[in-house]
Amino acid sequence: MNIMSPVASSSALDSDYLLSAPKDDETFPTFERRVSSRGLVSKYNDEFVLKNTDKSYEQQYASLYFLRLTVLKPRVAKVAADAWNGMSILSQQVKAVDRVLDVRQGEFCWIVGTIYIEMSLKPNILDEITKEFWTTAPISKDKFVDPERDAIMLEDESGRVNLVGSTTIKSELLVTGCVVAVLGSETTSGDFDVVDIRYPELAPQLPREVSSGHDRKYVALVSGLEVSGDVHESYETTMLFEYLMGELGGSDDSKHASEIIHVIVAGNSFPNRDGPLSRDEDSQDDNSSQTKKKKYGYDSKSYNSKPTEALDSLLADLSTSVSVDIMPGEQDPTNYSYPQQPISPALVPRTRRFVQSTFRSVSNPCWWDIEGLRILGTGGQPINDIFRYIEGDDRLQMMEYTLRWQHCAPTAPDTLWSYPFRDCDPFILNETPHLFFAGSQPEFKTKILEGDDGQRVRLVTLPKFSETGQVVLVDVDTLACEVVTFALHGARRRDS
Amino acid sequence: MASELYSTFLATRIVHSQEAITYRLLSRELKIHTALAKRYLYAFHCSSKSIYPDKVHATYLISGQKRPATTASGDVLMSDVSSPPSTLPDTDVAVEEEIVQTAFELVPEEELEDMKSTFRKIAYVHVYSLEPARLPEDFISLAECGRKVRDIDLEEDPHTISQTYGVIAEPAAKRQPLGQLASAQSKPAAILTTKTKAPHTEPEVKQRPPSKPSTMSSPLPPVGKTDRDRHFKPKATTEVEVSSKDIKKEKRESPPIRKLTSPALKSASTPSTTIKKTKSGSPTSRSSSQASQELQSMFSSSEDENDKDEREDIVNTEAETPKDVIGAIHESFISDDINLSIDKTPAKPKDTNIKSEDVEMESAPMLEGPGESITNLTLTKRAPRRGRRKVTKPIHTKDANGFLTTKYEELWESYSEASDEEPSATRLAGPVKRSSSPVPKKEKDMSAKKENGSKKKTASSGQSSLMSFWKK
Repeated sequence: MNIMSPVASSSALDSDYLLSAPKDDETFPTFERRVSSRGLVSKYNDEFVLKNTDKSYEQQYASLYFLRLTVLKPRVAKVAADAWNGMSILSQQVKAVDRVLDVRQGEFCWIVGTIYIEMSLKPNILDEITKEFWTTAPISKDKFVDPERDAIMLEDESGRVNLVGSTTIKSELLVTGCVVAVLGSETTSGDFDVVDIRYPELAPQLPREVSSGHDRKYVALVSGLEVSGDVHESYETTMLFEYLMGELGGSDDSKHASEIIHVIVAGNSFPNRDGPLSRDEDSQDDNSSQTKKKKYGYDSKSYNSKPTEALDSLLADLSTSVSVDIMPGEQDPTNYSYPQQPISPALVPRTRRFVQSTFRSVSNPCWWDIEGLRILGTGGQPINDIFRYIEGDDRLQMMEYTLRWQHCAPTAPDTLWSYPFRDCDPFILNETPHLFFAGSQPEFKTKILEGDDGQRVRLVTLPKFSETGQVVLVDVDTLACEVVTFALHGARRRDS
Repeated sequence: MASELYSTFLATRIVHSQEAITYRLLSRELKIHTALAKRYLYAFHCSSKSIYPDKVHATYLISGQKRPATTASGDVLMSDVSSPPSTLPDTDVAVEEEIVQTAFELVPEEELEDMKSTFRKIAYVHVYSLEPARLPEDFISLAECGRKVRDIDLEEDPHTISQTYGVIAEPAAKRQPLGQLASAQSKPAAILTTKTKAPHTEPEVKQRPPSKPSTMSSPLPPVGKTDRDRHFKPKATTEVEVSSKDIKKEKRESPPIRKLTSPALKSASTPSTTIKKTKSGSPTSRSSSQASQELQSMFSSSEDENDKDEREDIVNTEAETPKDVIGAIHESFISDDINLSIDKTPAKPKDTNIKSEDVEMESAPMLEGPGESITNLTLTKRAPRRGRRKVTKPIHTKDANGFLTTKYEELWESYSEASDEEPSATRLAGPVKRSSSPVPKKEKDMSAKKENGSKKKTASSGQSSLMSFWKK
């Protein structure tokens, strides 16, 4: 940080120093951000960003599951072997069984496979077709989970087996797609009675040097800006950008803002469109969409360019002062399936002029490496999807589990729409990040997660800025969190 | 004195024009540091109490740390920002963290003292904006100020912004000039496929011959020259500059020029012409000398085949024009700010005079179908196309052994969109391959698209008689 000119007049800037008449010779400090490395980890990001020419939807999703199992099986097996080898239950040695179908009754063994949860409330294409013939609208459920009727199964290349064991299985957080090892034996009915369960646990983490100097460095995380460009746009967004540029508040506020070396806008920068018109809903305009003749091309009447223009204007201004990355969320104009491709910079023409310097459009999810800090960020979709599988709403716990499963989106492609990857499963975590955040979550929560091998991860759930006015600052060196809130008029935006 | 300056300025703005002004807008307009602007606002607000009582209202910003929220019973709610420690054996118990929470609140002056009391620790208070009357709940007029500020900032260099207004400087920030960005992006696109490069050079090449005659001594036959001169006189001046610059082919320096060459070819309606003049598009890469040669050869060969009557009015020939002409003209309709990816299928041009050689023609028709939609958006009117074009037709012959063989050959055919005489069934998009199986398939695809395109065009153009040829 480089203070351009000393502050004249009083030595200590009290809180009212700006509430005074201007003096002729006074100069005010202008701060500068330090030069720092803010790169992307292309090793992982390249797998998320699909080239248009390479995209092919002709393959099945099964290969994705197969790849997942192939990669994660040895890792889980190792953890399981460490835990269970040599153990004996009821004076029987437990042993590893290679294939799920090879378990024998009465034998204690452990198997590795992918969890599959059979849920009746999961969206089902057949149900949708059936409902087409009825007049009831499809009811969207928040959660699929139905504890009495759901069945948990373990599946591998050979087959699947039903898992039972109310004490162990039901109390664990399990979703379709996570690879686990279970210890137990087969019951008479052919189910597998689970005694213990193991996950791959946290992947190794890259060590990093933490500087302990006085210069602090922060990464600012904000999600859910929902810039609508309307006349009645919430003004907090403007205040946020003024703060990031160092203009809001007093000199200490500016100084603190100058310690922010990078800003990540994590999803849902565009407002929620009026919900997709399902066949049961009527259009909100006078002409109903069903009966309207399908026009070739797009209907220019229904396009609203205000959100894009407003966001563009804000980002272009911000890019003059700090490097910004924009990551798409489910409401943003990019593909809906996961991983989301970067928003095209063509949508933000003014900001596009900073593409080679301070502006970057990244995929969802995305890995960063900022001054040695490895960050994994998602727009929140995997966590929101996991939420539907379990009872309860502990988002941090869900994030913790995704790290322990070494997979950041286990429910893809089951209920989280995804691309049918053929060569690799890019959501597998080969490395534990130092900072893991998820956007568009109900509220701000954070904790530090510690792993067996000394890994230390900061988990952060970002609330929607349009609802809470909160932006999170994470210290690059100490992983400490700060929250800055913007509000108008003393009105509380959310009840705590 | 600076103080008089600002007070006059503020008086004019707030009292006389009845507009709100934020500290940011003040700093941009007076070119001062934002902190100084805050001071000015404060000072004016104080002095206005006597001069203009009740005419100036201030909105303050308070920054600091708020007291935690209290429940109705007066107990303090602990804001639950840390989650409880994880119950799993692997993770250590998380310590309850102290999360630093800073708040920035915007309050009208009437509620300043009340709001101050909700803060546990106030960092700073300053005047955020001054307005003629208290702002409504959502602070609409401040949004307008913000927009103006951003528009002003758009014009300036980031480092200037930092130094003048006190914005935090970002050493890496660099705003690229408009044309440069586009050419930087077009370069990789050109490298990708040489095929696209070839057509890209064509349109540029195509654009130039019409303008060339007016400025350079050219080997072109005088007939074409005069005819074109006649058409282009009204726009001669622009085109003179256009073509001379264009010939330099410095794409970085003259992005607008490339666009302007397109009107040379056709009867672009004036709105589109003006758009072209003002906008700089995204130029695609061209090579100058090669282009000029191709241009000349092309022009001279096609010259003969132009129908005379086509010169009467500026005529559209069908999409023999290569993809890039389409792209050029199309891009010129669209504002410079929109970045068109080079791979995107451009719309068909309204009209061209140049007949294509087979190289150019190949790429053009494939784009008709998808290009159609784009054209509909941007062009207000499309004149009918006619002329002759090269078409690849399958010719069935009996060879020496008595077998029926099919060969694909290229022929010139006359085509008119208006009358829709020649269906597009045999347009070929790719390089001509002799009796190879991919080709017929591609043809079918192309022809299907083209038919759709042409059908659409005839439907949309709604022409039924030849007389419409002379009408615009």
